[in-house]
Amino acid sequence: MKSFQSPAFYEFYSPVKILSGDNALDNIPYELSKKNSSNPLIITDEGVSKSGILKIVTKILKSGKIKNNVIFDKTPRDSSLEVVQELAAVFKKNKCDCIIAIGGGSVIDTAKGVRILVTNRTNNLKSLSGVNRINPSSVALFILPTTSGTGSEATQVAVISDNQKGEKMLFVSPYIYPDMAVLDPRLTVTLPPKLTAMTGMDALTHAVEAYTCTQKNPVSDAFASTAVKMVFSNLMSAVKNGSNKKARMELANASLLAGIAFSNSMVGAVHSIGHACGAVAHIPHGHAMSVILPEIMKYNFKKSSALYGELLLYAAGAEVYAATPEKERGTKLIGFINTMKSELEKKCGLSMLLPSDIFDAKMIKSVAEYAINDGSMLNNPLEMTVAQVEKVLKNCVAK
Amino acid sequence: MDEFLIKTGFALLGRAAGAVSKYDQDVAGELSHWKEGFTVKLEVFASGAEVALQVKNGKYHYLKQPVDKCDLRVILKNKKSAAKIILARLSLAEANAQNRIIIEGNTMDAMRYVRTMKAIMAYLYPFFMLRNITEKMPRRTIQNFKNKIRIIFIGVIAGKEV
Repeated sequence: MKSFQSPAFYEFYSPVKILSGDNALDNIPYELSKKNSSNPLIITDEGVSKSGILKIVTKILKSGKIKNNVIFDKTPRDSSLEVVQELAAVFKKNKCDCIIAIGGGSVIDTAKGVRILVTNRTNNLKSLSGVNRINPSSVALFILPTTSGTGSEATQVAVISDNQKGEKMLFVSPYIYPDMAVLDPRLTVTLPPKLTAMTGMDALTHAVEAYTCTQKNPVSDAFASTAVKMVFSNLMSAVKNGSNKKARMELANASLLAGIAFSNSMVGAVHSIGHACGAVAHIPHGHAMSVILPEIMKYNFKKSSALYGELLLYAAGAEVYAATPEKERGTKLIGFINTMKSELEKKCGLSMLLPSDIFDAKMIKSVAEYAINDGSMLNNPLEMTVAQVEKVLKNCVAK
Repeated sequence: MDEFLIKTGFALLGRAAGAVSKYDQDVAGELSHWKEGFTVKLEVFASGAEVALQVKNGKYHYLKQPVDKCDLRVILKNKKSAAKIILARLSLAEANAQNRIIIEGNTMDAMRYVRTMKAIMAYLYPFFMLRNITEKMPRRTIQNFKNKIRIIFIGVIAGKEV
């Protein structure tokens, strides 16, 4: 069965320096000095602050003679325009020269938003939303992810909510890439099992979509396939035993690799529908990814079955791959993902379906209409109409 | 040769756009989401070739003069890619997948634009050429055939604003 074919043309770009492993945090003062930065604005949230992670980081900064850091630990669950504007003012007032983000997706997106505002010398963030509208930045941005899923530490994307208008503003530009991604087991070891499961499924979705969507290329494939292997080998271990540092680090790296992959090859319909589920029905992103991924794999199967078959090698290992007839490998991969979802539901309560009390016919239609206008839909292997998205969603809702 | 092909192709797309947005309900539906005066431009980097369309009374209006300001800008990085699009050997979606275009603007607007351009091309090109750039071929109905005749004769050949 013929599957891989290099695209007629592709580009790949990933300028983020990666520090990964034991005591990676301890290298931050040195790396800051290499960026001629000594006065960071630290952006985080209350959860990180209470978990003791913030204390570890500030102690390391202090030991590296970086004393004048300004700390903001009130980042909301969804990064908001107001908070970004407030923090840009704090950055300027305190003459900060770099940003350190410690947290999950919203903290990282907030930090990216602050850098956009302070770089582009405007107070109107909305005027810069969209694709390729911002200028290069000289403000160093260090990302310390405390979840293993968004991959945002290695992407050129930021999403900021305009709460007054109820909109999510999307920013895409190569100038959004952070300078440094720091992965240290101390950052993720306190993540609760259900959040670990949700973010892990998000990373898996990034990898599977990066491997199969229309912008895929040989370089992104290498990152995506390795990420699939690392998620399948470590997600259940990290959910069962959160203090398993090896599994935590593998997941953190899987998330990073998947982030690098999808930032270059883009994602597809799973994310389009997932973004719509978040925006319209307020479903957590990782939960939506977990539920929708196998259903979209079935939808795309006609076009992508051979590629799914290839991923079975990374998901299940050489023995299972070799023992499975070529034509059955794609189906088997979907089966493996469903089995993992079922185990995650048993271990930590991550539901395999979307809630039926929220997803009535009207909600399904609204989500479907939103989803087909999401930019990720452009990269899905097969085109989708509103009716086809509705059909997929109906299969995802609890009966 | 490429330059001549691109400029001719862009002019044909521009002339067809107004007629398509009048006769095709799906395209009209897409444009209804944009405010009056919304301007979208497809251009080729460093060549001066462009096709700019503005929404007027819910329909596309072809701007024959170059425009500086627009709400959505799609830039083809080189002439070869533009020629491939004009010859229906590459769709805008494929061009995006192969990093041959840069979009400046809102992604939702870009999705609408890509769909409307695909619809315009579906009326302009014969079926055998469309197979290269679309998964779902337009249905061969009498209404679609009538629309195609109107678009080609009124929009493209006569160049009438509808």
